[in-house]
Amino acid sequence: MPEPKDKLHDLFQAAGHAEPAMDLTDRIMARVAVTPLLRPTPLKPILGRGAWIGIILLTASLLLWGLLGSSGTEGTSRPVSDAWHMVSSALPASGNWALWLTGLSASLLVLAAVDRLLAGRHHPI
Amino acid sequence: MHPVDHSTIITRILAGDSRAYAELVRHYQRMVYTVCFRVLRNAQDAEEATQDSFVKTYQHLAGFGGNAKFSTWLYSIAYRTAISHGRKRRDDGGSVDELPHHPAADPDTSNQRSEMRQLLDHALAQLDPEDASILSFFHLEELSVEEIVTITGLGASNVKVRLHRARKKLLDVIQATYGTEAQRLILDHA
Repeated sequence: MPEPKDKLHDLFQAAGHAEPAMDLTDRIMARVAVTPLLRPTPLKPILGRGAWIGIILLTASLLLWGLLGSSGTEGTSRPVSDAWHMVSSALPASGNWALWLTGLSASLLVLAAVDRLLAGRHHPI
Repeated sequence: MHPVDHSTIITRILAGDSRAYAELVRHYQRMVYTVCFRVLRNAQDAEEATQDSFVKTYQHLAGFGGNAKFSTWLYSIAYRTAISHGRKRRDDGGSVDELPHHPAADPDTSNQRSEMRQLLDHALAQLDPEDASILSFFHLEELSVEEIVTITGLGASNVKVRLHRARKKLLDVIQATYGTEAQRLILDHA
């Protein structure tokens, strides 16, 4: 707030507002009468909450599977070991898959967060 | 100005009573017009921008969440509409810095008030339009820096620097243009 003793402030207050034409309200209301109200349509997330929970669970399972698989298949049961070999054969030969899967999970979580954020935003006028 | 119950009026408008909007228009039109006039410096353009501002506000009334003050929301629409009108006029080859034209005076307005307004209009016309608007928001509407930040979209430090510089420049312009006349008007009658 300006200082009360501010002369410039006093000048603005004394001069007041600029005066529009007397019929401005009528002209505005004439335009308003033919203008429809826009009802904002709520933006829905691309994927619902259930789908995201599913993706997170699936990713976590894959991650867990990858970690167990990469830590050695000797101690794991036969079906898990077979499945891990099947997945491994579909992937390129080198690389730290636990790290890749962690990256994938993190990316999916970031995408989920961005999706939710965008859904909650309103379009500016 | 009498206080306005914004939420009741907005509820009525959203329920289909568009005529209730006239109350908001009457309450705010002078300030909205002043904002547009400070940016556009021409009565006709300012009235056009004022109309557009109120129509836009009406159209999007359902989207007004009530998180900010209604006046702040309305002023931000008016400010951006006026800036956009000014830009369009420049693009069309017109000049934003036409001679300030003071609109028809209120019959009840005293000569002295009219004289001061004219002095201020001419002096503000020497400033950057955005700075003139910021000064009006601060000194005439007595808005806080935070509210001006919301309206203009500028940073808080930018608003403070602009306010400081604009005040200094305005005082210099008044002093240089009006000299002792300014002293009489500002010091004796403000």
